Amino acid sequence: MERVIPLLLVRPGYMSVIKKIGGMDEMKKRLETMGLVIGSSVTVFSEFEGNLIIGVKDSRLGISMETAGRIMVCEGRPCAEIASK
Amino acid sequence: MSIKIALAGNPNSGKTTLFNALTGSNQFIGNWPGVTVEKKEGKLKGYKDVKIMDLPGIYSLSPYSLEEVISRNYLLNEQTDCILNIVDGSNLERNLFLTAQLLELGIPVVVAVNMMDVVDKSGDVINIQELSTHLGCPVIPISALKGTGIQDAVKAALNAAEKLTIPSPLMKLSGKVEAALASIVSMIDAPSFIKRFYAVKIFERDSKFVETYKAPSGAEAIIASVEKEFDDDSESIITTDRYRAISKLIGSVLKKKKSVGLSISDKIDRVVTNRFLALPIFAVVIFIIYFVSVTTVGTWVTDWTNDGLFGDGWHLTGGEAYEAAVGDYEGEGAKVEAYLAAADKAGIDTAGISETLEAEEPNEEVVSGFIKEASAANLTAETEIKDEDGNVTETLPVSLADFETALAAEEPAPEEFGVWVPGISALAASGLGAIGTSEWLSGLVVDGIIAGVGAVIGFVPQMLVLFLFLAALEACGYMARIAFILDRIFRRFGLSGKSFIPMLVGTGCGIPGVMASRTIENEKERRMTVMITTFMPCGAKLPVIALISGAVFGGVWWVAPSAYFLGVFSVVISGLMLKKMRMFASDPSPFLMELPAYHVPTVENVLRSMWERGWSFIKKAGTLILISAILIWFLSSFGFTEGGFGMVEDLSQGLLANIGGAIAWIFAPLGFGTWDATVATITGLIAKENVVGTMGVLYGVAEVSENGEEVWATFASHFTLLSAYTFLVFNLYCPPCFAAMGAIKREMNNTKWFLFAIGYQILFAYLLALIIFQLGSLIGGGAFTVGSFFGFAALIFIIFMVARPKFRKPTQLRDVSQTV
Repeated sequence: MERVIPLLLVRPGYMSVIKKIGGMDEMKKRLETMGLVIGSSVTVFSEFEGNLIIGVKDSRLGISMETAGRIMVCEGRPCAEIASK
Repeated sequence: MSIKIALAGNPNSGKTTLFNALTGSNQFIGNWPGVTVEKKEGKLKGYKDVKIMDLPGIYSLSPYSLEEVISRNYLLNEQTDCILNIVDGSNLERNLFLTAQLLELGIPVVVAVNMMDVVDKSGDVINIQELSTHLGCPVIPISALKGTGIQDAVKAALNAAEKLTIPSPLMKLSGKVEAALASIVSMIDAPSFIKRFYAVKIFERDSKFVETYKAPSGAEAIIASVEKEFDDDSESIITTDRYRAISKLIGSVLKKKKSVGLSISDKIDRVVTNRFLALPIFAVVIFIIYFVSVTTVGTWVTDWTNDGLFGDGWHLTGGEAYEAAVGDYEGEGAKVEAYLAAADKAGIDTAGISETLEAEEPNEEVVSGFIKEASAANLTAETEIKDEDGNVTETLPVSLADFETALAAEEPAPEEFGVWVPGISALAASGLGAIGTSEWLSGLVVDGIIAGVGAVIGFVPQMLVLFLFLAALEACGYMARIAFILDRIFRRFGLSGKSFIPMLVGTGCGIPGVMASRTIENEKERRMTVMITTFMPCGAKLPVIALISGAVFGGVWWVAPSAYFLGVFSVVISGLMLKKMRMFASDPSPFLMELPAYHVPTVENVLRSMWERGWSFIKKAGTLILISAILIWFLSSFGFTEGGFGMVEDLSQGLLANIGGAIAWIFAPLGFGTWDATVATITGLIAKENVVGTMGVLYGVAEVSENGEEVWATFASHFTLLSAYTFLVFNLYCPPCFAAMGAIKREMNNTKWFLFAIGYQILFAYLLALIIFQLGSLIGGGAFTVGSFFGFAALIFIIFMVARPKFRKPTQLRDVSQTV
């Protein structure tokens, strides 16, 4: 069975699929509204001081490490297009 | 019949560009009632009675942000004839999420797929016909930037509004959710076209919706059973399901060309948000902006506005020759003064000659008498030539012959040097004089209104340059990255990465600085930013800093930097204190922000945004400042004299001086409890640079230069090093000018919050000055007094407020336990 880890631990250049978002608050709803729903794929583009730039659908989002820690994903695989750079 | 079209769409979908293209200059910008969210309305170009309402940029119709609630209430409660939904064609999936919600409102919808030029260029293909069939509404491809397809979209919207075609989407949620919605629909009593929307909101247990529309009793059981089945809350189930349906739809309408590597935007981000390069690049960008707008271009234009437009006037040509002539004339004047001073020392009576020289037609006998005496004494003198900063560059001997030539020198008239345009102030003065206006009225217009309003309007050009840069940064997408980069740093003291921009703008002028806080979504962070932005020394505070550092500290290098350092320190300390207070206590809202793809902004959008901000600044200065300028002018030029109440010769006899004297004791613990310092502080509330001008008037110099060089000696005799510094500290960090206070009131949008902000600023400035003065006196060898006790008490109070544990609401603890 594949391992489920927080998005926080996914390295830049890796792509993963969302399994669950923790908590029941407003932030969860906002994340879902922006397209971070169960089953959608997320690519981590870069990391700055713990905050991440991620790609969801066709947009880029900046999210803080606290938020990234609540997004549970299946372990990432290198995204060929980004990792090769 | 008039038609109302609501323009709705995601942020960064090109909504503003489309709105500008649709309405041209027929726009009205205001605020939504009771909130500080901007409301834009306009008339459709080429149509008489079609109104366009630009709704705030939103991602969904959920009740979680002010913008979403406003948009939703507008669409539900106002009679909207058609929704024109703009979606970003290069980010179709995410944009259609809002569309799916709009389609359920029972209002005609037309979808405009924007950025078709970008889509075509990338090689992707969108099947518009197929999309239209699935959404059940007209879909029009457009490019707001290139101006293509806009008229088609307008026609489709007008057509849909006229025929009242309610959308009938084929898109369906998963079977179990649809079944649950169907049974809720059968329970509720509402017009059939809106039933589905109501059912969805009831299913989601939407807090704002359930407040006004009571959910049917049987609904809860249905919702709970679906929740159990999906192991998620009902709202998330709907959201996830919607995205699933949209994904399926996208699969059939969008043919994506296989992507090749990183996009240009991602490549820029690799550099700009790079762990090592991000902050240096940011610093360079900010330095350039600040340098250009505040020190070079901005200052040139601002000087012209202050001295030219609102001053005596300015030269179109021949300005340099005039400047040189004025310099020569001043040099001659200095020689006369030096010679007279030397004569005084040598025991020659100079009272008579000084007096006659002041008169328009000097008495020749007195002058020749003085010259005889001086020649008998064989008197010579020395004069010092000073540069702009008041440093002595040269010492010249003045003989009797030099003195006589100097006496003969005439003040150069600006009209004789090239083309001279008189300023508003000079024009008004001569105009009012010509028609024989009474002295007080001309004083009110020239010294009260024009000088007061002009002082603030003088900052407009500088602000426009700064706004131009900020608008460009915002439009190209870098502003979002700044917020991202600075988020970690600002989070530590309860602010967000977006708090930086207000503070940067605030170093130019506090008014637009406070207004710039609007982009911060989190209300608590926004209020806090509004409260502490004006701690940054603005442009008008610089003359005050120059006065203190020049007059009392002999121009030592550290006074000016210390003012900025204390400003930053005040921001940080205030952040640390405020975030622990009950009213600001909340989990810090974690950063979540879309980073739009970088793109070259259009000139029109940037200029429009610059002008919108500039104009609201002018309006502010034009109203509030006008009233307060008149009030302060009245208080300072009228008073009780021997002859009863009336206009007074100078400020020291005016009502303001009485007021100053009455409340001066308040400032005694800070070391400057004199009526003159108090009056200067009060006049500083009009515009901070007035502190310098007031000092000039009070210390008997009619006209003072920018840094108040002429009053340095007198000023220094009224203050000690320490009291001068605390005077500076209090004036820099106490509430800013009236216009900035007006901006604070407007952004707070609540009298209680406004008073709290002003009260906090007064208290903070007072305590800071108290601590510095009392502890400074002790260190300087003073005795321990009651004052020192309060100084220590204030210091301990601030340390306690910073260090005490954070206020926690009990509910937050429960939240935490749930996440664990």
